[in-house]
Amino acid sequence: MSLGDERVFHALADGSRRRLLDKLFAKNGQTLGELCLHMKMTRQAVSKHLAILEAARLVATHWQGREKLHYLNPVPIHEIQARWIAKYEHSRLEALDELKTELERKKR
Amino acid sequence: MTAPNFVYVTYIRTTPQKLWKALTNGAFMRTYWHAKIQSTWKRGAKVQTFSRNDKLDWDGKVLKYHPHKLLSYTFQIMRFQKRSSRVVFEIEKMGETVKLTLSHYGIEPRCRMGIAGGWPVFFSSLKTVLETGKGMKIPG
Repeated sequence: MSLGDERVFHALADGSRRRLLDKLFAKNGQTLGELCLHMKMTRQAVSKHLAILEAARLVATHWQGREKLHYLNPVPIHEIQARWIAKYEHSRLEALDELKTELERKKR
Repeated sequence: MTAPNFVYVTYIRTTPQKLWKALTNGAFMRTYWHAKIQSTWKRGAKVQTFSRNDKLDWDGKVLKYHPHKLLSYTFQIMRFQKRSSRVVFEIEKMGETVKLTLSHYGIEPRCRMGIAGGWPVFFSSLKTVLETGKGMKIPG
């Protein structure tokens, strides 16, 4: 397992960090202040969790003027999933693709 | 200027030059995606992608073209989006890898889920072809 994968699993292993990702999934592009709302922990603690999520590349940041916005980056999770599930997804997608081609052929 | 709807980041073991080619060259794109992109890449010029059977997938206009660094164009999927959205690709060399950041702006709410779900598949396939030389088969 690569260092990147390890960082992702470690980041996801914590409930508070998963909650932060859930919050971003519900509303993407939030500031630290917004993310601290309804979290039973200090601003500093939230900041530490975000740093771990950023290091795992699960959170990307974007400067909007002087505000730092946090975004959920699902790409690393997708990459891990692609290793073990993708081939099954592809069979399913291929089956759908064949069906689509078949139906379009019949339409003509 | 409004904030993006989402920001996706991936790291690929390749060079900025190869990544740039993958994003802007139609024939290369065919090796990892179901569609091929076409444009003269002059500012304001049309950008189009065509899926199999040469059907137009989406079209837009070139906004920024800074080779190996920054690529931006508008993006409107036929029969799906009612108005144009905007994509910005930023490329940053980081030692042995390249960091690719995609920021997508102005997607109408009902299209966000679909578009947000599509990019990770695009990135996975792009990463696979650049790192292993073999494309993933993406039906389309």
